Amino acid sequence: MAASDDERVEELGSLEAIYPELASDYNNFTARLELAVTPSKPLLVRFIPQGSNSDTYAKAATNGGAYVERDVELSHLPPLCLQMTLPEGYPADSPPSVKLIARYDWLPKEKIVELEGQVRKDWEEYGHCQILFVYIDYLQQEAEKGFGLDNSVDGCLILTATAESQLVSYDTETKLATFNAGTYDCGICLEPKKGSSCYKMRRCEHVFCLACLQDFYSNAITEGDVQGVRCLDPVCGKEPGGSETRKRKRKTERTLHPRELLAMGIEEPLVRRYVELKRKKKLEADKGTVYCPRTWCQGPAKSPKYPPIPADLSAYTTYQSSDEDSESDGTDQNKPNSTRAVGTVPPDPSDRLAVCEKCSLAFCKVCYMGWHGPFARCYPRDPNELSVEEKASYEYIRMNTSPCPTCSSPTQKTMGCNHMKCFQCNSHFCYLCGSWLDVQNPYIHFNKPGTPCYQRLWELEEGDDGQNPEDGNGFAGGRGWEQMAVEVAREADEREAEEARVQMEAQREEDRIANELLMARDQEVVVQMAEVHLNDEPRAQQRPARGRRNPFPARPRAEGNAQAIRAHERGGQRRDGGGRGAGRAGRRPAAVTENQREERQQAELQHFLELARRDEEDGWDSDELGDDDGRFEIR
Amino acid sequence: MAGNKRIMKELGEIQSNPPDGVSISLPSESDFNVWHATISGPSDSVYAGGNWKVEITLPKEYPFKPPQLSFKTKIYHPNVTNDERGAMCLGMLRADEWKPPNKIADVLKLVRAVMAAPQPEDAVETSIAEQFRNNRKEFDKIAKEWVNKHAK
Repeated sequence: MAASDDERVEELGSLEAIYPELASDYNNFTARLELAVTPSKPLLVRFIPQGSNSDTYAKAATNGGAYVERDVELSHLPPLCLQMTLPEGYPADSPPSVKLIARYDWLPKEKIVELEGQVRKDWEEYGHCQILFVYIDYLQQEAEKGFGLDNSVDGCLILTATAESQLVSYDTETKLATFNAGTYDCGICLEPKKGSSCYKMRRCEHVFCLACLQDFYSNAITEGDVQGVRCLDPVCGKEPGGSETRKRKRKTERTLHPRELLAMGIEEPLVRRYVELKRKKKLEADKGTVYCPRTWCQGPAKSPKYPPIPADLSAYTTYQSSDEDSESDGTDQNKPNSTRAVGTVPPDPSDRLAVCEKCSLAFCKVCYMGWHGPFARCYPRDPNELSVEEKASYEYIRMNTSPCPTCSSPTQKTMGCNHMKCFQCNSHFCYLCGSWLDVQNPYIHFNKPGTPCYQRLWELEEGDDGQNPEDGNGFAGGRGWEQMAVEVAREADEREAEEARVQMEAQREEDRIANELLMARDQEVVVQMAEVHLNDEPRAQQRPARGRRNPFPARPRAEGNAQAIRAHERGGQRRDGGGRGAGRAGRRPAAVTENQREERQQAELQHFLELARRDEEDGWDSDELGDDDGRFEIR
Repeated sequence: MAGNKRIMKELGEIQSNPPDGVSISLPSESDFNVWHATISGPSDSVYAGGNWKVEITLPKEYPFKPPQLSFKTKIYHPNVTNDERGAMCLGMLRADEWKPPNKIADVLKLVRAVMAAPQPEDAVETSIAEQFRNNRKEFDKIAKEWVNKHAK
């Protein structure tokens, strides 16, 4: 029989025509074909730890050990390699012999045996004729049905966990390859693009071209528009329906996970900025967030709710990863106790400890002082209140900057002429008086004789660092009026203080004369008082009219009992309703013995301590301590 | 950016297949970022019979940023500002709602839909919206007067 007449040659030839990828060997009459396994309905695969393929839940459970199973739906399973050998006498006398090998050995043994057995059945059924095409077709149909593997008792294919990574990555790679081979119309540039230069959104599977996505998201992140980093499909995330449901839906529209942005090829620094912005927004929206009291820092305190951003952004799966944005509201409602109202004292004292995530300062979230340990008693403070440094910095801004006349940004000149251009809004203005300048001819402002800025273009050339211009005209900047007002107020304060001092001196002189007259007759009750007030005099002189702010620096704190008594005494006086006049009327210098005075002081101290015990020491004249600028008011 | 190419593409598309009641022209041969649309009032609305000139300005970031709409012909409508700008800004035209795959054709369809059915809850002219809600007769009357006065 000639070789060409051999039916095996004929069959292999026709198979090659049908399956170009068929690898055939005419000498040994063997052929090999790889069959893709892509079930029409994704195959559910359950990966279980250890054990053989046939392990069921019960078996695995009785084996003991942790039973962590994972169900994964796979659209692409590793291919099946069909090896065919056509023996002498095929097809008339003997059936072909076939061998099936599943890559990664994922197909159960029984199934392989069953599939291999089918070739003989087919051969018998078709009356010993060329059977290979029929058989391959059968295998392909079976593969499409997922080999009926989900018809088992478990409703899925069970494999050991060791196979998981291989199968899952095969599935994703194949999906990607299929995707890349396709062509898609990008809805943004409206161009048809190859799959390999497109990206499919992980959650909603909308496809856009990479160039457009990169442009759009990079732009949105640069502008700080975090909400814009979402799927760009116009109807994605929206339910058709009334505007009511649309609005509600919009709130829950999901932003993308940083992993996706990285996968699109967006630069890491931008993606990091995106993650940081998102986190910052969350922190700022959270009323429970506590900020560092250091004014140069003001970083948020570390919180388990918002863990720091990992170095590897793709591993960013924390508190509420972007996938779960919509669930954040839900969880908050479930745990109403998780966020405490600001200002209330937490029940556990050590709960007060907060650590700044930027500068690592440990502080108390109630009193905003450095951490004082869990046992100190402290009182809430309003963190918005100005601290000394803040006041100083406002003062500096007031004295050494000139505001832009358009946008009010404080501007400080470091050098050069007084023609300024605002770095914020590009307005041209005069540093000295804050006038707008003509962009075309800015210097005319300094060249008009008779105007305040005439010939002053180069004043403060070395920059404005608190020094005054040479001509003594005084630099006022755009805040000239403000500074003038401050100066006038300060002078008025001084004048009033001086008047008050003169008046008081006159009064004291009067008192002294009156007292001298009365001295002989009256030695009793009021003696001590007068003594105390005499002690007070040097201080009282400095006191400005009541109700004004003290323009003078803080005076030293009370130094001991005597001061406390004096303070208390003054309070007492006021409570008497008599006021200063009444007190003064009784003031007489007294010829009291040292002994008597000490006794008096002792008694007063007792009285004060008594008041203190009853919590009435508030009756003091609070001016005594209130002038201390560096202290925070306790509310 | 993909902008210019896309604008040309959209222009070609819209000129060969314009949305109902709309025609497009470019006022300048060199500037493709300003389009002029002539929109006819929907037949079953108070605006029937009128024609409005609407200027569509495409920002240089288009299609990343929404186009801006300006009615050059006055229209009495709660969703169009009653000033020389004649601006309309609702739905997809809002910056936070805009998505790049939206096209000018979609925008024009939206404009006509809003002409047919004003959205008083999203109004820019609150007094007109109130009138639309509470005194529909008067609203219809004025709107029709304006059509006759300005849009014919």
